[in-house]
Amino acid sequence: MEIFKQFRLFFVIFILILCAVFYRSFSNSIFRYDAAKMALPSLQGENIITEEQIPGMMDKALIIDIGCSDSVLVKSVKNINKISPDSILDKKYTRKLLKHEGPIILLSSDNSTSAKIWMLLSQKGIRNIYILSYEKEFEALKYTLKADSLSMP
Amino acid sequence: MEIRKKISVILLILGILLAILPLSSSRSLFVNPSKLLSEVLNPNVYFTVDQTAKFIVNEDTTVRIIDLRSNEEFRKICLPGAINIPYNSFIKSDPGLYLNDKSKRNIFYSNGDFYSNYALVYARGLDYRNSYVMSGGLNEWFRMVMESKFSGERISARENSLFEIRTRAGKLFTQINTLPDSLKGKFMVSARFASRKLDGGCE
Amino acid sequence: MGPLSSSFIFPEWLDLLFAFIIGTGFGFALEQAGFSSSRKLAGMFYGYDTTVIKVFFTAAIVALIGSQLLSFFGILNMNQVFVNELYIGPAIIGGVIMGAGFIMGGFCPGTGLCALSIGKIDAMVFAAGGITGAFLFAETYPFIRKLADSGYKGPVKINESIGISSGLFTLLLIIAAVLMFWIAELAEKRFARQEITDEIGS
Repeated sequence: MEIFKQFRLFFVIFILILCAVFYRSFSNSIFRYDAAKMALPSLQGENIITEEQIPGMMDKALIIDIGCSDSVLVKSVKNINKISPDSILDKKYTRKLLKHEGPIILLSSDNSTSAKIWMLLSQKGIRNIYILSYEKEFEALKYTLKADSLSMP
Repeated sequence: MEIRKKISVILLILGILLAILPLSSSRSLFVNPSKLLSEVLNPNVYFTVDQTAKFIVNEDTTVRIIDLRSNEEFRKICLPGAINIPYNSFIKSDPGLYLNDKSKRNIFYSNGDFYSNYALVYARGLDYRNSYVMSGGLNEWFRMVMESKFSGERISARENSLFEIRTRAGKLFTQINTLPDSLKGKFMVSARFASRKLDGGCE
Repeated sequence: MGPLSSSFIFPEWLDLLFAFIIGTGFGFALEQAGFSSSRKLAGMFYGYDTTVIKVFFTAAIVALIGSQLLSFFGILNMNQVFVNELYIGPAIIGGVIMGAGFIMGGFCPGTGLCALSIGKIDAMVFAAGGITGAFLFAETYPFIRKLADSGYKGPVKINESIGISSGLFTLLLIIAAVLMFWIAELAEKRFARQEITDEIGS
């Protein structure tokens, strides 16, 4: 008690700091992971898969349709979870994604939506997420420029 | 208790707390996740290729066009006035060195949509709200601007304006990208973005 | 003014005003702690008054703890905090010159300016000497350039060189500081000079 009396101001400040630390460490309403580290798979395209690669992952994969996927695969697979992009961060979905042990595959006809959702979910600490791309060369330039004409390879 | 001992005890307790915390010099995104999600899904984060063409033609100084492709790809073809920050460098270094000028709108582009949208979420997550994307990337630029053709007998005023912007932007694009390598190199050096250097003071 | 300037655009005059206010606070704290007295400052080297090492070390540790916590909470971006570049040879030579100057003059640059502001004559002479030294350095730089640029190691941090986390390094530094405070108090008893400490009002 004597020690507490001598250090009371310090204890108050320390408890406030401790509460802030616990909030920062465990809260769901903030990002907690190293941003650059979680974005690493996107640097070399390791997070992009094609339709040919999917059958090999089907056993353990959790497939999420985030919007109007045109994939033939979508129509053939039964256990596809359809989640709207605006509700992807709802607790019930993020808990399911965090608990899932295998790969998570995002399907969408819009690459920009897939890319954004991928980055968001990765920053939330969800690993092993892949984007299904309908093209093998996902960031290839399809055109070349010649001095007076335009040609497509 | 002596003041020295009190201060020592306080400092030691704080030191133990810091030793336990997962401190590192790297950062996490600090915008609220739900807020970030609604922000990046809002169509207002996109500029179309026509809007970007207009910025280029008008030499709009409130806009900075950032090419996220590799250095080699940038040297071959790029948008006029664009600055090259390869996506790898963008993620591995501190984007704040490049994006800190809040008076400018930064428009990311790549060949497609992936890198630009990754960078959009990353930048906005670090509270650089002046970050946008040119939707469709360079592929869309070629499709809409470079292939722009008028067909039909009559053209409305709006279509005419659009066609004119596309034609002028297309010409600029061709001019810049068909420069000889020696001149192109010099042009790119002058347009290179000097990332903000940290400057120490003296005591 | 970081960290706030990463979130807000401050006009330059406001940044300078912040600098002025912080500088005023620093000078006030130095004067209030008695650091405008050259005998108090020199006492650190003779052992009869170790206030300097206690105050500066405590200030450095509080700043270290504060910046670590701010970094943890995402308020301060440590990547944007300037880290001095290390030139080994010049740092050692400069440290020896600085240490000799400190003990002979009884001031370091910051405390010298603090004493100058209250009109101390020894501080005026010290400041004149410091400015002369800086001038001579600039004028002779072409001749000593090779030495001045030698041993470049870049902006190194001690914890990164050793391979420990910054938090653990902070704890080790605090332990070292506590030990140093204890040794300082022993030194004060061993090398006491009552006539000087009474005069400077410890």
